[in-house]
Amino acid sequence: MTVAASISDRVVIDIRDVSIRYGDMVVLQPVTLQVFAGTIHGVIGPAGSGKTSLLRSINKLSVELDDATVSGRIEIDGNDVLALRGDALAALRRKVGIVFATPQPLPRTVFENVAFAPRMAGVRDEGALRATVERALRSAQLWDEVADRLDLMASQLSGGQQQRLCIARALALNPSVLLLDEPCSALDPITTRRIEDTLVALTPDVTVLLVTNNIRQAERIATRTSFILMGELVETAPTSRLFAEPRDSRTRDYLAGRFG
Amino acid sequence: MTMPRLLAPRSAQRVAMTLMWAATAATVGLLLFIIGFVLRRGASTLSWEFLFSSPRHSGALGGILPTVVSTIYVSAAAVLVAAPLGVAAAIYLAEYTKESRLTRVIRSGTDALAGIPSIIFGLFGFAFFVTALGMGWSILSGGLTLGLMILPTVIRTSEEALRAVPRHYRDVAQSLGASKWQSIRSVVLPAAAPGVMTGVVLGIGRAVSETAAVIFTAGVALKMPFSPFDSARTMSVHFYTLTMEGISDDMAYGTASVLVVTILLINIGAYTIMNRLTRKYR
Repeated sequence: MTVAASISDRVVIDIRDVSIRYGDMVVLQPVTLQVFAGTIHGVIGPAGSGKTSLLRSINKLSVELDDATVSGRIEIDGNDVLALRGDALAALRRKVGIVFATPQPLPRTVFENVAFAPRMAGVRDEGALRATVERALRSAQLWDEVADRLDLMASQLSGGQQQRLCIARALALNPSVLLLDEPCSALDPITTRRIEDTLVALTPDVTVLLVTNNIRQAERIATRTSFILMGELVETAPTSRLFAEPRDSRTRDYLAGRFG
Repeated sequence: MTMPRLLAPRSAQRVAMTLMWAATAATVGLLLFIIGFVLRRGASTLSWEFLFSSPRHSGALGGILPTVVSTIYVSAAAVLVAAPLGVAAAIYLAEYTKESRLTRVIRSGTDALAGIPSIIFGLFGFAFFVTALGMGWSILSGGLTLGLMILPTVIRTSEEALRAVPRHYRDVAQSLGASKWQSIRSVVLPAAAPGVMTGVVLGIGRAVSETAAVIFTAGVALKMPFSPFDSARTMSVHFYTLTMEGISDDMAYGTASVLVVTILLINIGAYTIMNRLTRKYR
């Protein structure tokens, strides 16, 4: 067995029988899904199918901020996420970055946005912070555009730059997992392409779970892809296989643009 | 189906604009009239000496320095009580509780507290701080009473300000490994600061200008206070005493002028700071 094969055989995100509801409203039926190390895993499906709820549950954000009830088991590198709270949960979130659908810079400078997570984690050394910020901005392919204006308010960057800033911010603590919730939904095709290149460049160091409304995006960069429809995981397969010969008729219809 | 028109859209627009302009003009006009009226009557008395010397003959002669100092002390004590308590309560209500019967009770209780006449706060302060706790007529009693009086204003404005902070700031901060308190302290509170400041400024305004609640709790001693346990006479109480006891109308309006200008300066100062803060966080 080659080294590359052994890397992508390792399960990083292990989702078992996870269902999600808000009060009495069930948004996700029990889902079982494995995401392999160092790959990009795409999740496609129409709006309102439960993709975002699933993504926000992987770092327990949905439980803490949206009052969701999540049952089942979610493991990241063997950690039982749903059982974590307090400091242990904060520690996990430093290893699991998330980027939201619309660029959401904090009301601070470019530098302070990227330095936010390290500062919260207790890093005080300004030299170390500068090095971290530069590395993260380079990984997000934003450094060349903002190197001489790190003191600019983040809100003054363009939409695409803001979204790459949010990716850089999520990368500041060297996470092993990056969760992305339709990261390009508000962006033009060229910027979208840049962000896709960025994500591909992050693998295999980072495992990426990419929720997207754009099925072509999954086709372009995801190694494996899952299709979720109305709270149900319909099928998961290597992306080329899913697009070439979907097993389920609903997947076929969705990919053919017959609904959603 | 469309409603029959009373006015052509263009005329309706013009009428509405005129009405709104008139309402604005009336508000500003009234403010200027009151300030002008007080300053005109007080102008003959106003001088640096009036501001910086002690009163003689119960305030018929001399200046008002002790009342200026007392006003600052009593108001500062009130803010020191109300700001931390109020902001903490607002954080609890906005960030740590879910909407429930309890929060509704707390909220309507706060609103009811805001509607209680200040003289009732004065009587309560007299019975509780001055008498029961034995603090006597003092800056401390007055400050605590005023603090309780402006607390509801601070709580409600701060709570609104916290709720107005975009939800995603909390998402982002906590998703980056900040604890709930870290996210509140480093992201939510700074963003809410201008609104919280507004509440505190409104509170300071009320505290500085309050008469009834202070006269019962801080007393009327017309001398320079040196400790929190000294009785003190604020500018509003001084104005009230000078007028009601017929000591000197000129001195009364002189005091009123200083009071009005002080409140104006506090407002202008606070809004300037607020604008700076908002620009920084925009």
